[in-house]
Amino acid sequence: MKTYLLIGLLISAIGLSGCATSGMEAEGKPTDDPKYAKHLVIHNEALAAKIIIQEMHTRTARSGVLEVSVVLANLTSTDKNIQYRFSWYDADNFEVEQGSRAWTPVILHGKSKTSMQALAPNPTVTTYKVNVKELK
Amino acid sequence: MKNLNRVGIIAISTLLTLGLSGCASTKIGYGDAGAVETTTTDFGSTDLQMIAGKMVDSLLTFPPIVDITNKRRPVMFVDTIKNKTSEHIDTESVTDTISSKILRSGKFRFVDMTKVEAIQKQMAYQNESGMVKKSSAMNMGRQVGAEYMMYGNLSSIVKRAGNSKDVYYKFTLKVMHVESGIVEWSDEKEIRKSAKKSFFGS
Repeated sequence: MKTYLLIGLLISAIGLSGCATSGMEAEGKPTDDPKYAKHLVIHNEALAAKIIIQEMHTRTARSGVLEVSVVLANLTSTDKNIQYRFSWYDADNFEVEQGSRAWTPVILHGKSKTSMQALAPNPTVTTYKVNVKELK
Repeated sequence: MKNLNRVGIIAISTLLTLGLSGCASTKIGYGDAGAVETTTTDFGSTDLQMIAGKMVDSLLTFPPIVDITNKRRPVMFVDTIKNKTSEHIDTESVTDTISSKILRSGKFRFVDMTKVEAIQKQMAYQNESGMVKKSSAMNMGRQVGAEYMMYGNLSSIVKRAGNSKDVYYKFTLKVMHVESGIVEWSDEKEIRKSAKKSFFGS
């Protein structure tokens, strides 16, 4: 009985370390084609095979602030618990309101899409980055 | 001989205690303040951050509010957020985050009603104590009245069955025009959290 428990614990430990904390990172600007992120960096191939960043839309709201909508698609048929975070940069590539954004958890149902929307903290923002990773 | 034995036992037990306390160490580290926190189903930092993010984005993109704030920065004050849940939640902390974000967006300005007494005291000191140079004293009766009021509610529904627990939070925030009493904007954020105790970890 004890050995079974130990083996079970070992397997779960291996399983947990498998889902790495890193994920995907995409950068976008208002001028970009919505179908392609300017830079898409994948730190976790296993996650990128299951979840893709399908579209990245940007518009300048009437108040002059950048509005972003990023569409995530779940390629698998099982629900996925993920988290995302936006970060904002001005024309000189300085991060705006550094660290003010928190990771947001979201459930992506099997074979479905969901859009992550966010508003830049102020009108100086010209570029944004979005990070996506699995929720442990 | 007996005494020597006793001394020996005390010495060994002291050494053992020291040795054991050496093993049991506390590891301290810094975490990411923005990380998703799922320790319990109680109201937590992730809930606060999600609520604040959603409310600020919603308020600042609502077309009539965009119109109001396009040319000027109206003055707002924050009334309390009523905590209707069964938990103890510092709702002032939620409104602090929301009002900071709104203020930093440059669209609204705030008057802080929690500091009225302190300001009154300072004004009285400057104008009535005879200690402050007249030319440098701040004048009375020059404060700007708030045009809008922000207020809201936080409620929850908690259900338990056997080993599972489900908590539903609803945060409602409204902005009212003080003079006319018209609610200019309102939005809500819903959060569902569930916990299930299972025999096998994970």
